[in-house]
Amino acid sequence: MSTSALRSPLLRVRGLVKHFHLPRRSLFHAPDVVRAVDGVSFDIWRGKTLGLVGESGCGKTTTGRAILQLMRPTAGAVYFEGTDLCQLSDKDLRPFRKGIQIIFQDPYASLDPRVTIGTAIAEPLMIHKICQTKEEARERVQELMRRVGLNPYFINRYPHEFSGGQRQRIGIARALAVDPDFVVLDEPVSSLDVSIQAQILNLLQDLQAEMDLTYLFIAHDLRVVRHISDRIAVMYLGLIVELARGLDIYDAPLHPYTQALLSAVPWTDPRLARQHQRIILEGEVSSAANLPSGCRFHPRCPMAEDRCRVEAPALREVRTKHWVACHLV
Amino acid sequence: MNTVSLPHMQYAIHEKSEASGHIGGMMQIDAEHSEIPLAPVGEAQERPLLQIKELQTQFETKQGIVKAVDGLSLELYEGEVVGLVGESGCGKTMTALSIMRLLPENGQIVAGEIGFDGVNLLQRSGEEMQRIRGRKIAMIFQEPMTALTPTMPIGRQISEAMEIHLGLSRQVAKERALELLAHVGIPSPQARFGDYIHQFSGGMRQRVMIAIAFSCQPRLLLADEPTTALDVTVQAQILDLIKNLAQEAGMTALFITHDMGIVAGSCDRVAVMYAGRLVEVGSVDDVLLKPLHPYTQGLLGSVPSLHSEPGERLSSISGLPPDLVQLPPGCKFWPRCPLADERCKQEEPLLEQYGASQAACWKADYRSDSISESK
Repeated sequence: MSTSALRSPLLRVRGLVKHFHLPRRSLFHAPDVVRAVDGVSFDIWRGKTLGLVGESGCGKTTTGRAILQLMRPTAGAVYFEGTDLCQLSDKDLRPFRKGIQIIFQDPYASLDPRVTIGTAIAEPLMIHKICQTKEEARERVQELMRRVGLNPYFINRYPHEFSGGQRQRIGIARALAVDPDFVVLDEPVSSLDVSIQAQILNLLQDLQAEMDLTYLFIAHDLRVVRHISDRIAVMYLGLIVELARGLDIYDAPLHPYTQALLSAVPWTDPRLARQHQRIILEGEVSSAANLPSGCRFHPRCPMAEDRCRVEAPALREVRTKHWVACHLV
Repeated sequence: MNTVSLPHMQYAIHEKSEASGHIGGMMQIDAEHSEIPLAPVGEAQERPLLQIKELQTQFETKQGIVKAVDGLSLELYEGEVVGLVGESGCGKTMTALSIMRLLPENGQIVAGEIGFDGVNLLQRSGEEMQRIRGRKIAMIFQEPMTALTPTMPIGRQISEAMEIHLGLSRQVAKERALELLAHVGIPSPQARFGDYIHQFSGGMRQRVMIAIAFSCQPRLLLADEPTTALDVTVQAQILDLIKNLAQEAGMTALFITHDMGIVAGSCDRVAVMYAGRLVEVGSVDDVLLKPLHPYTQGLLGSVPSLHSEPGERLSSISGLPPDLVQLPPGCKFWPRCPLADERCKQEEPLLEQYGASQAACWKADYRSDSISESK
């Protein structure tokens, strides 16, 4: 790794916004806007993992897709090695696609049931002209399969012949076939059984070290995120409310939402479960189509004051490398 | 009864009894009701409320006979909460459905006994089971959206159960349903009474299902992954709600989950299931802090803990869960077990007492020794 790569982040996200328009309810009514991602900024350094956590509907998946330009952002910039991907046309974007890949939650839904896994993994190799001949591609596919823990003997089988964990390995092989720099992992282990989850997490860590990969790890399971991330960003209703080194967040969460989220984590130590004072949040996440005024968390916040209902707090660095968006911190 | 997809059954049964001679049914239930004592509180540790003995449940599939539950024995004492833990396909849901006698059509209980409050449920007629389900044993399913009727207002679904099981008048049942909705934390119950299940969020749906489950004050609650589909903060709300309600009513509960974390926070005892049988049973502290069976250890090691260093490797279990049609001889876990030797491959270990817990493992003896030494 060169020193310049260490100094500047591989990925810089600035003011990322993605709004969706709902169908008009009536002719005289302006269409409702869902502000799924509403101004998100962060950096990810090469070889590191940023964990993006939050509850369903907080915009974490949309953030991942907008970074990859799978959905074009409404506003903002995504600098990948200095180039703003948002400014590129689809055609100019193509060479960059090789460097940025995604692994989905449901590997079954993301694989074509009528295509053998050998063909599925070889496809990106042919599209990006990494392999010139079919024989060459086949060899590379077998090597990839071995690398992710699949028996290369199964190269001509179809996705339905594999278990969930094996399918996720296929998804990983396919994403890594083009030797990317940056991978978005969107809930990669949530649909897997506990024992298989651990296998896949170990594999992802090994691959990261071996291939110098940079991860954006999107998940809702805070135990998994703590395990795999260097830094963690907590999202709530389209905004990052806290961003810090993983251990800082878990040892001393500053935002009331992060505190509640962490107090709800079901750790497997019964002694911890007993002494833990759970902060039970009232109500549920508001809708991104009808955002509360001021701080978006104030309707559920146990500490909300008048100011929180009116004024939206900005993300500030309150301790070294620890950013929080809360008036009370 | 026509076979509908499983979780609907409980409610399909209600509908049917309403359609075919509601009055007759209600009179019967009235008589039944008068002889049911309410759940006694505090009378613990005498006779188990639920006693499963050597239960065997099988399924006929195209691939062959699947032994979903294979010789499972488990006791639940009055007032305790027991966790039944295992990965998908280990038979934990089928155990609960066997207790409810709500197995899918291709499933069958081929042997064993399910003693509930002194009677063997497997010898009850279908009609008798209808009166037990919902009234004495209630179940909470993972997906309220599929377990509840989409075409009936939720208030009606709660009050109907009470009309049928408790013989309450429509008006009284409605009042109690409103109280229940408020009790489980549904804001403005009066306004939501006539709403349909799709109009509720995931957490609220689960609250509605809890209201139905608790409506007739059953003595035993079976909760099948009640929070798996929910967000972390909502999961904590729902777990607390179930725990508090069960405590209030002195209810006995079986918590089915794949998450050792939920067991740690919600249960008194835990039973770990693998390939249709129990491999370890004990108090939550014993099993989670001093696991005897290598599978239990693997399950616990697979979940990152608050004490682990970020980035360190998880001690995962190698290999895949077994094919239930072609189970290996000997211990069912040996192909994935780091300790397996020749004996494990040939002889199947049975649950035996080691210290405070029970484990089905030839190596458990050695492990319980090493644990006491390390103390």
